[in-house]
Amino acid sequence: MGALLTERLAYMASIESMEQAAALGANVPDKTALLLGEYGAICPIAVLDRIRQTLKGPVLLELLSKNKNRDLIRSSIITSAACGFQGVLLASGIFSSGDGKARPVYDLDQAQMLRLALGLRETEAIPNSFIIAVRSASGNAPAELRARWYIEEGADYIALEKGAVPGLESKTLLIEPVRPA
Amino acid sequence: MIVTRKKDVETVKKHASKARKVIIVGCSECAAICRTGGSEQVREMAEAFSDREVLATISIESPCDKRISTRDFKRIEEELADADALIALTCGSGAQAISEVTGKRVVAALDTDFVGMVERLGRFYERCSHCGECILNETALLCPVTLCPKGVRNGPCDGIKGTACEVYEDRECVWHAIHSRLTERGELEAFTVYHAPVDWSECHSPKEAVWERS
Repeated sequence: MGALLTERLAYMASIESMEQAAALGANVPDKTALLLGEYGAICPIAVLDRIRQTLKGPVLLELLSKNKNRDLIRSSIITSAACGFQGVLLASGIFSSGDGKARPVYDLDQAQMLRLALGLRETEAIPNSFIIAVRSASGNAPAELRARWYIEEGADYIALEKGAVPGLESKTLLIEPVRPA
Repeated sequence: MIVTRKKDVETVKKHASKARKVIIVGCSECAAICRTGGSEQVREMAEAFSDREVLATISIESPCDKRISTRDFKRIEEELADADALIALTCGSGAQAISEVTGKRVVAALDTDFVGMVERLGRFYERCSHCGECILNETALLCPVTLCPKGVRNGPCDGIKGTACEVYEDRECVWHAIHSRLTERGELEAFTVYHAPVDWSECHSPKEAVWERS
């Protein structure tokens, strides 16, 4: 099981250039892990990994289920671990993006992604220390019930943009967007 | 019921540009209810083709049923033999069945949208995506595969906004509705029953249902 000595994730959702990412990384406070998002102009893991190498501290990859089938999700998790990311944050992704006309693919939901990732860790396809977190919501009963389920199933953390899930404080990472200075 | 939309008439006529003699074929079942292929729409299409020779118009009860189409086309055998093309105001299955039954060039005049639930005329709602792995009995008879834009089988997703769907903010998240309904029924334990991903190896197109002879 992975562990992260932080309660915050500095989130870079939309990365448009290597220079922008490096500048953002320099502004991130201590004891804050970085989270690189798949949105934006730069998204393939290999390129995001080049950005990761320019940054200090632990870096997680936000992995979207959107527009990936389960085969690509599996390879993305393994690739991110092989590249040296400290973990992944499993998210669903914004439904409509680009010109909005592409067929959205949601082969797996976040619960199914979690089971896939945990299975990879169990079979040692990814290191045991590789962090598996799930982006969650709060403030309503079904979202909080699902968040508890993620943790009970074996997720290391849930990650929230705001609010809290009562009783899961020690398992919660707060997502704090960072922007260019 | 199969919900259809009319194609633009000029587009239909363009696809039938080489046909001088045509037959207009309507559907007196689904397309009639949708007012895309009923007798009125058949008449309108015949008028739109007034610059050609309309040999016949016909409304078939279920044009997607090859047995019924075969039977009904016998009523216009002579016109059929003479026709250059058939204009099908039917769903895609109907148009293809007509093509196979008649061996004629068929122009599809409708776009097929979805399998719909009819609330009343003009109010059709998609409630089933025919995924082949129904979980309605665990989701209080609300289909998340259809009612969630992301098709989430274990929800809600991370985008839920209060009680609303992330994609359609004026609609309740279906997983919020499922939670409410299961709570009312005292069946909340069903909420976190894990639903495995759909096994697409069993869902390749084209699907078939062929009864074995006993």
